[in-house]
Amino acid sequence: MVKQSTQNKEQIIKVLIAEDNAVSAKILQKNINDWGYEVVVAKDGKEAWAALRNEGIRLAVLDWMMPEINGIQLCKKIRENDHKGEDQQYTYIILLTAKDEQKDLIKGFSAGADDYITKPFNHLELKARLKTGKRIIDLQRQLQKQASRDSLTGLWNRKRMFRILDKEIHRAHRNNLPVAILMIDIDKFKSINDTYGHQIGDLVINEVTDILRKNIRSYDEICRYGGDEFLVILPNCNSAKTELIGDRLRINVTKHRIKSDNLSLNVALSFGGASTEGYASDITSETLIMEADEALLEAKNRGRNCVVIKKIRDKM
Amino acid sequence: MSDMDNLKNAGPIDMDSVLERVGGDESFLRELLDIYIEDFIEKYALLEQAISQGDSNNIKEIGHSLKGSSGNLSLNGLHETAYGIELSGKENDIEQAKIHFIRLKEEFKKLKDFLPLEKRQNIEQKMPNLE
Repeated sequence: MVKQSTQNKEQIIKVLIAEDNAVSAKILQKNINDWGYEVVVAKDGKEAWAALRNEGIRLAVLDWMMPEINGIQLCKKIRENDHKGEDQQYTYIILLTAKDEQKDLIKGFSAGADDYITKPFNHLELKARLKTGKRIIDLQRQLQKQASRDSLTGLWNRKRMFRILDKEIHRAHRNNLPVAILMIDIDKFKSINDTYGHQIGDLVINEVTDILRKNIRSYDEICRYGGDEFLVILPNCNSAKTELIGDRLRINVTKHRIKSDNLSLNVALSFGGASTEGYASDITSETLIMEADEALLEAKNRGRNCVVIKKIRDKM
Repeated sequence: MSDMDNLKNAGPIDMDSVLERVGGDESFLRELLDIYIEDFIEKYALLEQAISQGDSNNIKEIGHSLKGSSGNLSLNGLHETAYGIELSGKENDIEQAKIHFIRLKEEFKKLKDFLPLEKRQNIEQKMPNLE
């Protein structure tokens, strides 16, 4: 039961009602709550803006005329903020207007409103309009997911990986902890593709992905860096620990047989790692990747199917 | 439920439309009416003041606010009158506002007379100059 309620909570959309009229706000709150949304009520534009910034609001029902900041000004503020940061989620805006404000609707739309409803509202119409908003929000969520995931494996894509890595490096600085990465390459992947075809190549990539996923710690992150290259981010890992994890991954992949119809094959991985070892104030994601790349090249030169780790120390 | 039945038959509130808006919840509607009346008493005094000062901007804003809450409760007479007040403010027509203000008082009295005794007395206490 408990699990179910937390699951539901993730799907519940938070709706802001910004309305200075107490009667109207109450009716909106009751209806929208009854339809399964979570509701936050603000009685003027200022309160609404505070809620919009802090409460994870996805859908906003804004009254046109409000003290402090009116609905139109709020629309503009929301839209100015929409594209700050890639994780920023779209806020769907429904304007509440009086009938005689309808002629001003163009002003509302050009300020950034998605839809409007006239007061006193018909509750079925409002319900339908909220549903439309939810549909747009869900679409945006899907797009956002697609933009950060690799389509074949579902792993983080390269673009997203750089952001995660930057964040982990910052965290490591803050907490005075090491951070490491592993650059991983499937040995002789090109000849697998050339010999068995790209479908088998894809299968190999997916099966390797599964093994990597199962053998990292819950707070490590994996991304697909390129064709047959993966990158694992390992927070709080010195070089010794990084080597240990790399070796565990390597052995588990070696042991695994990939089967398809009459085919059964083994693959091996080469690992190049870089760890900041201790506190490293001048480390950037570029340096880490560069060092890991060099280590990977060395692993290839040593005959593949092995792990090479580089320690990076503070230049001071 | 007798007070609601009374309202249903005829008079200041369109019960069908308001009940639809509040999902048929009569006790919620009673709660809303209480909020409305508290708010009305406050706005009424402010409106009287704004009219005597010839403050058309305030007249417009109070009219707009009363229009909103009356409309939401399907208090059609009050809604129309409040709209008239808002327009008078917009057009800076204080004389017109005075006429609508008298109508507003009449419309509110109609609502009051439909309420149960205890609520009526409460309003009369707070608005001794209503009669």
